Amino acid sequence: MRLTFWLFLFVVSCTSNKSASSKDRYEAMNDLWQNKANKSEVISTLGTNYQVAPSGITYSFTTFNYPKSGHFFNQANQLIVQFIFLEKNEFETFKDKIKCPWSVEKKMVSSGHTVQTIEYGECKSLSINYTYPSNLNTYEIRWEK
Amino acid sequence: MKIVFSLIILSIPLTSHAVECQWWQTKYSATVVNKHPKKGKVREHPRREYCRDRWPNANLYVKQFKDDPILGWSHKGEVFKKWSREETQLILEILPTLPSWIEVQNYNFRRAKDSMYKGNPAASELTNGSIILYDLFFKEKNKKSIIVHESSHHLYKKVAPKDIADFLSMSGWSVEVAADGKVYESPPKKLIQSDSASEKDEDFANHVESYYQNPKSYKTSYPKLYDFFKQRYPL
Repeated sequence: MRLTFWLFLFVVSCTSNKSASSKDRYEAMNDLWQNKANKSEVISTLGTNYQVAPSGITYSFTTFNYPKSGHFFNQANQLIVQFIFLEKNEFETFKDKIKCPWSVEKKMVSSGHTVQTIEYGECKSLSINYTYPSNLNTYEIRWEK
Repeated sequence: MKIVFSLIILSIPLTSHAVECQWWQTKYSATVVNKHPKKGKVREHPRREYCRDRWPNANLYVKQFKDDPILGWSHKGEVFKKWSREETQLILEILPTLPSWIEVQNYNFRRAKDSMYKGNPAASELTNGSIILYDLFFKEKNKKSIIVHESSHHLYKKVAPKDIADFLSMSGWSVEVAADGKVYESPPKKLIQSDSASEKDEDFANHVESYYQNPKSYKTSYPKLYDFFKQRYPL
């Protein structure tokens, strides 16, 4: 299993200059999640241009200062939560690439003087959930148990 | 066949004598168009009456007024009601005066009695593009600004991620990522309106409203945001 993971890291590092491009970042993240990666493995895969956060690291959007993805570790240095914000077209590709039986629920949610429908999706088998719209009018994808 | 069809078409204006106008329209007597003296291609126009909107696009906008309640409306205790003609007229007078970026044509207008929030004249339902106007709205002086504010909630949904991030930064929001892996956005210390702290889109709507209502004063207080809005929402 470990050998497979390191082979995966090698391929990613060879094809994406040591960091996954934003297009396939979520695929790399899903692999990291499945392999219960540690901090070093996450950095090796996603790049060294990270910011330190409590119990984890974040990566900013390339064109503006806001966390694009975040990765958090338990005391055993194992990935326990991660998130990524995806725009609608990215999310469609994400759903195509990460095959998963999604259960989707839409709820009318009141926030201050406005009411809107929020979409919640969950894939139990891969421990992924998403919310739309989330921060920045994007999809927020989360891997957590 | 073509001849029969042409005859039917030509006969329509001749047979429609009495023009019935809607209350948001005015009946006009048209000047008879004479046959074009030079080219002879324009035939004499026999219709003598027609309806003209009393306010620009009234015939389009009037279809956006809905009397039925919003299904699943989550503001408990709020009661929807029917539009009166006077209220509809008031809004029909306002809508054509608003800037095009408000996108008036995209909304439907609902009428409700009182907001569950004290002192609130209007609300928005973003999924179906509804703007809800409460009794209080009709007592307010700045009705245009209120509609601009509500429209801004709908506009916010279309703002690109980078632009939202820029707005948050310029407005003074701070972003923190906590150990639970959640991103928290804290409101500015100096708020443009007290309810700006409740949500980013409320802050955005308050800023757009202020920018629209008093651009000179707004430019002085928020020069960067003034430029930000001016590029996107010219006055």
